[in-house]
Amino acid sequence: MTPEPILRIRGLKTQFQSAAGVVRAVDGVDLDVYPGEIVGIVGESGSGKSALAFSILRLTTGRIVAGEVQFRGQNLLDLREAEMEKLRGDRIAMIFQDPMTSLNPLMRVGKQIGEALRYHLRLSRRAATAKAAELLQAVHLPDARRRVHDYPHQLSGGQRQRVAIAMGISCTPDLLIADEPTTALDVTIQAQILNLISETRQRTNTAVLLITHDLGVVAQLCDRVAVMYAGQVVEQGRTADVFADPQHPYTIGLLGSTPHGRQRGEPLRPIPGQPPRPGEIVAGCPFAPRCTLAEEHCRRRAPDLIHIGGGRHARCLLRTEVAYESAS
Amino acid sequence: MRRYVTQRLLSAVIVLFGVSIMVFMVLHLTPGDPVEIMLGPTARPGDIERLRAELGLTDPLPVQYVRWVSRALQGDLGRSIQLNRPVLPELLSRFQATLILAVAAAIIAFSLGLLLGVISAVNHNRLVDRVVAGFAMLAVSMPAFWVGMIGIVVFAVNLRWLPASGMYPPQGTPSWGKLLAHLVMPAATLALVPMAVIARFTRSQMLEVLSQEFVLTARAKGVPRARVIIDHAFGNTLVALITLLGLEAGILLAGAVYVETVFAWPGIGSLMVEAILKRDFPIVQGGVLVIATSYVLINLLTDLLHAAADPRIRVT
Repeated sequence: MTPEPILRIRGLKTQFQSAAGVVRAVDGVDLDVYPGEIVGIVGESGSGKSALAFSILRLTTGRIVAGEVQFRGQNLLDLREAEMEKLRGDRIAMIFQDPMTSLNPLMRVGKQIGEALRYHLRLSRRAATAKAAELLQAVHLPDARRRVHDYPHQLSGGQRQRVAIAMGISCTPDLLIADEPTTALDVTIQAQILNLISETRQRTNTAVLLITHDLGVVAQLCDRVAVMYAGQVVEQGRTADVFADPQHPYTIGLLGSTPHGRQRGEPLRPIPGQPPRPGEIVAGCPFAPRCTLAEEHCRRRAPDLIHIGGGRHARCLLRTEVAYESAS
Repeated sequence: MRRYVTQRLLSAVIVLFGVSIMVFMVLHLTPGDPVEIMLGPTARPGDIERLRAELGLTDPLPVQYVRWVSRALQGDLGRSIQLNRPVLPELLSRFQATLILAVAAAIIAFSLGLLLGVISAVNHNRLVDRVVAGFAMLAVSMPAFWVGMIGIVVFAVNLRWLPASGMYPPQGTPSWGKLLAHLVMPAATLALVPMAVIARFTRSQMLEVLSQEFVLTARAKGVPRARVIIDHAFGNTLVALITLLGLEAGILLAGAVYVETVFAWPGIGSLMVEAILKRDFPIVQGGVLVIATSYVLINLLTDLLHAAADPRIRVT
């Protein structure tokens, strides 16, 4: 028997109003996250991965127009704001991309870490600071006991991201959403932070939703991966399977355009063309204009996300036919 | 931090030095010979020469400057031609009245300005925001002296709620209550424009802060929205506004001149207006020096406050 997913997203749509019209940033996303696993969300900038993350926490500036976000069996979209506040930072926490801007420059880091503890666990100021020092020790910040009294500007980028992680795991959440947590960091620091996230998962069994555009990060860390394109999940499956045998032409292109998916000596092949502009509505498959395998009907009919066996899903008419053929 | 304070103090001293030179030059750049003015058109040439030598006006300018500064440092700013009294005590007693007025206006302008700005930003683009914006626009565009006169007509003449002018009633013993009644209208008039300016800057600064990621971090931690605004956004807004608040404090001090004239407030502004009209140069000179010095002090205080409030400045 498979365990229940801790997070089950169905048909989630988030839209932004812009001068160019309605932008469908998240356009019908289905996604499951099981307890203790790390799920990667990859895609180009503008593919809707961050909008998805913010929609889960209901912190998006856009409007969630449809769908469900089931967290431990409860639809978050039905909750009142006060109930949502109880959940944020306690059961679902988030880490942001740029540790230079994601910490309050005027507040000591110990106090910032302690905030969630004070709101959710009702700790006293003193207990919260003590716990903050412990958390900083847990994320391997040297001299943690003294560092709680530091201001963010006294720490390096990597150290700040450790603080952000300490903040995220302070109440041992069930789900940690990490929005490009290493993008703003030096390469050597990136590896340390990724190790830290993986270590945290092992220690606390916290599920992690890792948003990234870096396939190397996904390969290194994620149990499963969802590839996003134009606000939709186009392929989903176990990381090893997806990397070894990508099913969606976009995934194939993505792997071909980065060094991680290539043999040494093989040239990189960028995906031709551009993703649809925000607000642009493409008839048929949104990837068809860039797809080397696209056929006539790809430009007319939008494909659904189809289970293609082995826990894998793809949103491609070509695969759909294969799936239908093998089923019949 | 210590180095920063020393630096600021040093630059304040340098500015004051420049101010003293300018103030000193006022007397020498004014058309007409002060001695001739003092003695009048009927004076004999010999008397003029004698008084000029007596006053040290025949010495080279640097010598005169040093003498003037060393006297000023000892609190001797000369004697008023009109009142025939030492300038400094006169200036100080008038300056006290100005200070009371300016501080009262600052309390009104800062508290209401910040409050309105925050309310506006939090209700971005909603009705409240637009009402505040309209009110601020109106307040900025109305000249203070006109508002003061309208206030006198409405509250003093027609409604008889508040006294029209002065600091205390002409008869009777002064008291806090009487002072307060006399203070309300001039302080409110003086506060109006700075309040509107502060409200507008607070609004835009607060919006800027609210769009920053650490605000989102706080929300993602589960901090309620109201607490995010109080604990995270307001502090950062205030730090960014300290410079503006310092400037406005200076403006309140200098702007008091108009309001003092309209409400016959016995402050340094109205004293200087009288002195200018009567060519009482020692008073003008001393008055400029006092106001300029307080300006420099406010600036110094602003910088130090900024350093104290923003940890990023402290280490450099």
